[in-house]
Amino acid sequence: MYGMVNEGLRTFVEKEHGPDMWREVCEMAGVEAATFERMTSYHDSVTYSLVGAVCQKTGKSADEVLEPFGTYWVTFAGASNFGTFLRLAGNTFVERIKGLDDMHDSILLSMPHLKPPSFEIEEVGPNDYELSYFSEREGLAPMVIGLLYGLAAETNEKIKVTQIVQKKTVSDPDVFKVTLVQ
Amino acid sequence: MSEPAHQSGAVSQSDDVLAFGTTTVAQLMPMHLILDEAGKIAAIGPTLQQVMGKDVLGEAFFDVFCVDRPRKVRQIADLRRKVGAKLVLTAIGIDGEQVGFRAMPVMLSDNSDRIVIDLSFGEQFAKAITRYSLTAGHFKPNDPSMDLLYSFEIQRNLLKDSEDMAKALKLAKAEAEDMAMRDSVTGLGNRRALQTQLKQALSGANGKGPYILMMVDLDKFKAVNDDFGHAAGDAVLRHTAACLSEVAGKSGFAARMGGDEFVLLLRMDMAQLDAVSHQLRSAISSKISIAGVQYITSASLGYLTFEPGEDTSPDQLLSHVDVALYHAKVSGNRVAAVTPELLRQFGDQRALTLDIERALRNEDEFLPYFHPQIDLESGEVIGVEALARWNHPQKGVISPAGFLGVAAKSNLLLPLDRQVRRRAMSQFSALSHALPAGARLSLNITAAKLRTEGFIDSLLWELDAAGLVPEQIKLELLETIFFDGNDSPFIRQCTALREAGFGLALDDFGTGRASISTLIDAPISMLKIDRSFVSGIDRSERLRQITGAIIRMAYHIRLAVLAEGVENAAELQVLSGLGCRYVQGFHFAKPMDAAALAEWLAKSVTDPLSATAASA
Repeated sequence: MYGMVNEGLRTFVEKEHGPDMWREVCEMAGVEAATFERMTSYHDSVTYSLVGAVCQKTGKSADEVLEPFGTYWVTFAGASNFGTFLRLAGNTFVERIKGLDDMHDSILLSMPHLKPPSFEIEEVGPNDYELSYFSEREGLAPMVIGLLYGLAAETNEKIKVTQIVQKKTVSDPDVFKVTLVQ
Repeated sequence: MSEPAHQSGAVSQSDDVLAFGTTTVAQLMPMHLILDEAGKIAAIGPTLQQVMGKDVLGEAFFDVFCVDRPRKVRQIADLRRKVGAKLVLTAIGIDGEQVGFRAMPVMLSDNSDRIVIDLSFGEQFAKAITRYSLTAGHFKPNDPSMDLLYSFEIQRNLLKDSEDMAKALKLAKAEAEDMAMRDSVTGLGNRRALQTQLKQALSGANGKGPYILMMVDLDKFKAVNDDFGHAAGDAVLRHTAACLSEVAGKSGFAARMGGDEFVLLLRMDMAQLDAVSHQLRSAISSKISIAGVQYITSASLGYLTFEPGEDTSPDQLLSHVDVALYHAKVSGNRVAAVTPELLRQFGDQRALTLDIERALRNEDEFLPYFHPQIDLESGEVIGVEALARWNHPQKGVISPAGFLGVAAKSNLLLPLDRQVRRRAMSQFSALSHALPAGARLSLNITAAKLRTEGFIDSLLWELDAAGLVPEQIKLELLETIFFDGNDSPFIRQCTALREAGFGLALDDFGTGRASISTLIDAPISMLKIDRSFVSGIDRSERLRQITGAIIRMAYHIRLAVLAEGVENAAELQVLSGLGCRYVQGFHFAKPMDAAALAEWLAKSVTDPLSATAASA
């Protein structure tokens, strides 16, 4: 995982719970670095340990931590140069979802070790979509839900997200039903 | 918002597209495929052909290419539904390896089922250029891919430089952090690292106790540095560090506190202590050879035990073990444990130091007592020796034995001495009208102090402030002083003092602290015979002979002689018979404060010899 994700988690925890909490989280997770270099690749276990420690420290479940972090992530990443990629994809929620893979492909040019997720969205009815989320990583579906809400908020749209399929193998997608709320 | 042109399907003059010749299509799309109605490859662009190598014409598109994204495109009908969409394709290239493409399918014309697919390398562009030996000529002149390639290559280089620099900085940071916890001479942990270890041990983070904290100090290490240089000193420190590391093993911790002081933190019980301390001291005192010179050093140890969770701190532990080490050194036992009695003594000493500091701040507790010195020939008082006393608000008057030792250890002697000296000068000045003309104030002074830069100037300033002149002062030199030719600057300084009018006396003569050899070049005018030659002189023929010899020798070299510690008339009579002219002792008066001295002088003005200690 690139350090940017861990940095996002740091600023999220510090914003929600204060810097002392982050220091305690790092200590509990056995992570020496209190800050991360955005463009450096860190082992995924660092991020998982940090999220686990946040759960323990706050007494929240992983879902309760990851979903708001997903929403926060859109703002955090959007404030960086990567936000430009996202905005170039289009001005609607669906366009931006469609642009996520392109954005990751573009980022891969400069960050070849990135193992980005992939998103496919298909219209299944008026204002109803099925979004398939593919990732080598486990357990991040709640973060995707938050991320979707965050993306919709960026384009001033309202959505309702429900997970309808949980992946069974690494290559399977998690599938979400996304309804645009008028 | 308008739909992008490539998604609209509204190609102007669509019929003319069919009129494009193969060369035109190849120029426009050097990496294109045209699929016939059955989904077989009917045409292929020249650049894509170079990448694929084999002839794929006539083969089914899905036999040659795999659509990775969107994931549900598996047959030609799916492809037709994705017109204008981005596809991610893979195929096996000429090198037998998988190659990735981005692609966009479009219908060849509105009334045809044939599909044109325009491919590009997408993010694999840079790799593909190298893998398939492609050049700018393989792409359209208006294709910005090559420009981007150059740009990306530059960025990649910059990124690599940044990564290299980040790695170097991380390494430097790690090294700096390591150095911050490590002693540079020995490689052992330093004081900071020890604090961390002690905190962890006390918190129980390192497991159960008991722990032994041992402080180790090399004996006479300064001499190694002074005699053989710092390189040799460092070698001895490294030797000691190696000994400590061996004893510490993997479970213990060794640190250097600074100088020649080391600390060991061991998790073990007292039963193992004797063996460990013996092993450590034996190892340290083993012979080491440095540049062909054999060295043997030794060490003293202080130790204490503690358990995790004890109500103490790293600083307190170190302070206590330091007390034990100090005791080990001064007692000569070389090994000592912290005991409540030892801590009590240390506490008393610490309390006394604080009390002395308080008294010095008050400026009115340390005061001079005056001890008269008598001329037996004239019967007159020739001067008074100023002696320090502490007029303690609770404990009353304390003699020097009760505070000078601690004051010296605590580096408080200098301010204390200054306070007493200035008050002595001031009070002596006030009493001068009651003293015979020529009477001097005797001040005890160390040779080291005389050598101190600025001391003479300071002394003259103090005299001036008190309204005195050098002729009213006699400096009694303490400690071993060798007035030999090798110390001519000091002799010159003493000579200058005497020429300025100061009287110089050699104190405690005969006790071994001063010797006959010191008299050869000494610019002194008086010898003070120590009380050990006076006390009991009336009962010891041997003392009489020795003291008589000293007196005769002094007169031969024209030195006045003053006998200290005269306590009774019998001693006085013998000394007088031996020719001793000047005396001082309890027989005449005890040391007394300025008021008592004024009273004593008033009573004895006619005949001080009759004023005995009983009157003081």
